[in-house]
Amino acid sequence: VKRVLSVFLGILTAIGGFVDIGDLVANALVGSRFGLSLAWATLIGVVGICVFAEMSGRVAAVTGRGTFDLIRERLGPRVGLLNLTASLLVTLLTFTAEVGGVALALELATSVNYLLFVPVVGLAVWLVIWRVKFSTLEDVFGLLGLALIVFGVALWQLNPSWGDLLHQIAVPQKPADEDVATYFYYAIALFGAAMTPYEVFFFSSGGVEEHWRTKDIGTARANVFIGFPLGGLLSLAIAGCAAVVLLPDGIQVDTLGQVGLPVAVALGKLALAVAILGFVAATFGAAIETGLSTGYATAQYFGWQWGKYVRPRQAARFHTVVLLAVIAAVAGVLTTADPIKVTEYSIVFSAVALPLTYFPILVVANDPVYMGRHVNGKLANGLGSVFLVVIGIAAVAAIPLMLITAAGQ
Amino acid sequence: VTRALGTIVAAAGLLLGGCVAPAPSASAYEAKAGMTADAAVSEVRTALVATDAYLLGRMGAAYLETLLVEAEEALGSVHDTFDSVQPPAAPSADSLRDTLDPLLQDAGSALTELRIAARRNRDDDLRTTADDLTGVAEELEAFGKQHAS
Repeated sequence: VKRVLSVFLGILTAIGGFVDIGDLVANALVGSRFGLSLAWATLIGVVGICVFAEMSGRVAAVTGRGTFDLIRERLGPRVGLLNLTASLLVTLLTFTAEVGGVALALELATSVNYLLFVPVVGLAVWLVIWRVKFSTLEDVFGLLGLALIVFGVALWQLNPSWGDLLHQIAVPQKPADEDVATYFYYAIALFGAAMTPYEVFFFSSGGVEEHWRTKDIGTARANVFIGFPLGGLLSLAIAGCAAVVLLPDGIQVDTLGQVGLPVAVALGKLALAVAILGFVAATFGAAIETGLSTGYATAQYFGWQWGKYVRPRQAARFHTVVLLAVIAAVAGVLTTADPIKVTEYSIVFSAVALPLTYFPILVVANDPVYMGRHVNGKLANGLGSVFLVVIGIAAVAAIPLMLITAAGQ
Repeated sequence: VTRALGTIVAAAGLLLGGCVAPAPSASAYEAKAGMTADAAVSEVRTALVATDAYLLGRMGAAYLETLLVEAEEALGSVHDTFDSVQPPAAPSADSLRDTLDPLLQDAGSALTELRIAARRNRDDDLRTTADDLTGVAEELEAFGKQHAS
């Protein structure tokens, strides 16, 4: 019974932890402009993250080592450093967006300018990373993130034409008033939001933190194959709400407040409070994950002691990197750069960095020296290879499309 | 190399600044005006949907106030950006500007009124201003459709 409960809890936290500021903004923005005609990009992204998260979780369970440690060993320090640099920059940008997202969510609850919350949020993130047990923070923020299910309830309450929504998903068509380049720019944004690199680092490093062994591979797979797709459904519900309430009025999402607007229209004040709780939990949880991921990536590459399963004194360099990342993220938001714009850029740059993240994982998971009998099978290799092609296309097209469309304008 | 560098710098400048280059032709100016009207509609409609939800008891004052402040700021930015574009020397461009500019001005003033009413908890003022703003929103929508690129 304990094991079943543990698996169930893992799935719930995977659902609640799936959505972050990138998913919130990208899905609401796209829903308000394109309806559900770009749902295919989210669906492909969810399948992709499942494929590579399963691989990285399996690698962590079999080897008991972090991703960057293995990448450096398997592909050499130069490739490892390139991978580290790209991943770190994207993760820092995402971390900045998440810190800004928490502050924006608090502003919605209080109407106090978000910039005043930023130092407090930074301090809170650092304190939680420093003091709270890994399993506690993962469970608490994952479960609180489930508050975003309110978007699913709101969509149901709005009583849309389900046939029309399903038709938009099944037979995607670019809206007449949008051009092709913009359509595909946002497809890449959604794909990047679903496949954010830090999610894989955090998932695999978390496996090491929780001392996964080969017997835990089943649990990890359940988290990934059930939790992530259900998290993806939350993303679609956010897009659906925007498509039903905002699109007909010509409202294009450029603030977090607009993301929650359909919930207020459909369900009222209490549900809106639940949505704000979901915003705070999703962004704060993701801020912790991205903050930790900067420390994980750097410490694993350089071979330092890392993780929350040892005392901070024993992993001083890891915690120093995390602290510096917190300071950088807080400083980034305090420049008054719009956190929503930072989010939009972070998910597009995530798409650019995807091959550097996922190619090495495929290589390591396919190496029998590390993986023994748990090496990739034909299905994992086939899907991994197909997705590397998709990721490569997205990475190459992202920046040109950003320039052509003036970042989707 | 210099040319390529210049292109990259220009593109990066546009991207990072989110700014708008001077309109090179009457048709480009018209497209810019249409996009400006659409962006303004987005902010105005956000304020109207939020105000309606608040008046129906579906949204708290803090959330409404935040949305109104953001809409007001965003509309101000949209208006400033449009005004910063040098119109081409054509009567049609002047006519576009003379039509759109007052609409943006009216929308901005109404959003300010809404924000003031929200902060003072004056529901009647919110209702009256929202009614006025609905008319402006419809005019902006019509303008946007007429001058869509």
